[in-house]
Amino acid sequence: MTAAAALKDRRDEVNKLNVFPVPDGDTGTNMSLTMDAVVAEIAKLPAGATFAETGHAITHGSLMGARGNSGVILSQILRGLCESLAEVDHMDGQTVADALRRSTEVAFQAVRKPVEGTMLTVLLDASETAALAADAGEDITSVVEAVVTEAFESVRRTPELLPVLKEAGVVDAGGYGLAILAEGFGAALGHHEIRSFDVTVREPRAAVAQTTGPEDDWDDEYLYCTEFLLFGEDLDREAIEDYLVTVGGSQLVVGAPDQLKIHVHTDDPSQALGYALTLGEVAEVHVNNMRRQTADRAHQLRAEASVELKELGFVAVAAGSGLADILKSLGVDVVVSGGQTMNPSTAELLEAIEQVPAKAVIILPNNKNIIMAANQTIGIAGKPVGVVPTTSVPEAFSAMLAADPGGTVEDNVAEMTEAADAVRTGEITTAVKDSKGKVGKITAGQVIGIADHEIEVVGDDVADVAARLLDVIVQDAETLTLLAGADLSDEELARIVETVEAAHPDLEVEIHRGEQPLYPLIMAVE
Amino acid sequence: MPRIAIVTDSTCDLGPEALKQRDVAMVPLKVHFGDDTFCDWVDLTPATFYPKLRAAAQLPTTSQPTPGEFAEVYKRLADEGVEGIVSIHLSAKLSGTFESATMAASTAPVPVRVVDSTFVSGAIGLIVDAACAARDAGGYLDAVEKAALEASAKTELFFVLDTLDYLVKGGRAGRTQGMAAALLNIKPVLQVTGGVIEPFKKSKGTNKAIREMAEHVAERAKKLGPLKVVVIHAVAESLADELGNAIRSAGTEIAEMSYDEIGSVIGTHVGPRAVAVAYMPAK
Repeated sequence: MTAAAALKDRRDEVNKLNVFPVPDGDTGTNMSLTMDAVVAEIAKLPAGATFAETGHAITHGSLMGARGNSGVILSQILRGLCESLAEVDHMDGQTVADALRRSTEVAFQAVRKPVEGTMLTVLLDASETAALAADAGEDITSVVEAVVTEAFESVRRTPELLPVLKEAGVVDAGGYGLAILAEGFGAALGHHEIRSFDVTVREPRAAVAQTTGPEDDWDDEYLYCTEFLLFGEDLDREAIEDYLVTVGGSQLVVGAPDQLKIHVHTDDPSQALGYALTLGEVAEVHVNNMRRQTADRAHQLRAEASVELKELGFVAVAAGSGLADILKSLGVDVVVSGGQTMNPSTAELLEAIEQVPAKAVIILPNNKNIIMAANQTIGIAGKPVGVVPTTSVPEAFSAMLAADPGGTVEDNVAEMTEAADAVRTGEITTAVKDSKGKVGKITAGQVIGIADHEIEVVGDDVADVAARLLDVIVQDAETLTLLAGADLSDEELARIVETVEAAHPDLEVEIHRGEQPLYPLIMAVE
Repeated sequence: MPRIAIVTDSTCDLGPEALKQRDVAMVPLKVHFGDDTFCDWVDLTPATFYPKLRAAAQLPTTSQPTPGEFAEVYKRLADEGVEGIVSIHLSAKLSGTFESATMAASTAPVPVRVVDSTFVSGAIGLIVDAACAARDAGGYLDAVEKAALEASAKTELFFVLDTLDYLVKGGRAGRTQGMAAALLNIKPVLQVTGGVIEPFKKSKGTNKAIREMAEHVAERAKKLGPLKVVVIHAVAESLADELGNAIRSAGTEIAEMSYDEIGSVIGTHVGPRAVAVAYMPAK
């Protein structure tokens, strides 16, 4: 019950760690509720219930109350413990070790594909430690103490075993829950105080990015993280681990008897390496100063990220922070600032192409006058380039939705061009000089509506011109996207939206602030 | 009582009446609103769930049935005299339900074959129907299990969501996660394939997404022959009608078409206004 209470107190902490197997953030709750079911079942027992009756209550309660994957595995762990303990009449170090061994067997049987770095690993590690302590003749206090200590140590190692944990910068939630329970059992037996355990928890489900792993934060005991490969014959993994414990901590030895990967945190890497050299050949030696590492890390990660090349990247031309943000959210790597009145040069486009960390690049010029400059980069750039001849930013939106980052440049250009062609764009701006067009006389300062490079509508009010321009382009469209320019106030925008929705109730209208200069409103229908 | 019983879970979204008609036992998954727990399709129907979802300050979570709950159903059926059970459940890659059932099966008094449908919702319904047909034709354990597995291999499921938020928050978005970052209001067409959710197409606008799904179904009918189709929706009857009509007007050869609602557990992960189509060749 102490164990159940300890877990309940910390269930939110455990929830936050939950990224595996499904990042739904409920491991703490599930394990806690499973334990609640056990407590409820025990509470039903008459006073003076036997050991066996209690064991049965625990097994039954946890099986009926098991919630979530972690709860189900926990129920099997408890079943194993109870089955084993039911066969003894008093508890000592050996019975604890035997019970944990049985529990490990049962839990592993229950899981189709046991995964390293989960609560099963924590259980296995704790069980092996218990066996060692019991073999050494330790009493129950020392065995339980060793189990709890190892459980937490094992939790710390989980990010090294399960990459998804490392990526999220967390330890395994189920394993941590199990360690808390073990500690609760220990405390209930009166063997030690509840300790505090510092986990570096980031919000789960934030964009997965490499961060300084918790492991490095915890292990400030030693200065150097030392890793290397060891080649030899009949290498004894356990003997090597036993040695590493004497020179440092966080040791990990994995691999085959002829090739091992060795990882240890130590103050003297030469000892670990010197020892390894007596066993065989070493290679890929990496020694990191963990104290200095943290500061260098962000920089290093950026450098590494730029080395990794994608198959296909995208460059688009646009003016306006809002338009750039939307394009980037759709997968555009680099947005070159430019548009009607400031056409980027071929050189600027080439520079952008070089910046994109991809083996090939597709350009979206988004203006009739930039298509040619874009075409000129083909053959000059240091990588294959394709041009989707978009003449407006909304065309680029639809083109990007059709993009397949795994496909070839040719296929993408074809698919994306087809998608862009389905878009009709209307642009609203101010006439800069007096002129005559198919709509008659235009005076400088008047609002004009342009579709397909023709001035279609003239007026004195953005909302009025917008409504009439929409009538020109709408045809049988289903969706309308409105992009408000930097000069259009939210109030004016709201007025336009109201007019448009009243006139075209069937259109699905989507509104964004594009913040483009010179064009108070860009609209696109599809 | 037939010699072989069929068990499914609530995420088949068949609802109590339809299950009774088919003589199929159902074990509910659970929906948790804070500390309040509800059994899917038992004490939470679509009519009560979606208003509650809209009003909830915090999104609900869902959980699989316990092994004990499966064990009870298996035992009850055995006590009633069935000789074997085929237990058909939602994709093991999306839920631990299959694991719970498998665990309970190992201690059941009669042989239980647990089938991973690799699907959700109406697609499981189609697979359960295929198993029922085999059972009603006098099939024994092997035959009923085989019918379910074969149906699972022939079933396809596509859906369009109003928003990816629910899928992302529920942790089941898989490779569709990236689409959620888009600032544009994309209506992604998704599919369940290989037991997981995968992006199929990105569309602007619900109508276009629905049309694209319908056109795809028509294409598939050309390959597969007349289809048995089920259109399912989360409080989006008009969208479901639209999808059904679009599938017909796209020239799809249809042997049978029905409409169903998405229950509370699947609804928690797809959100209101989701609409889906599941189908398999009628023969």
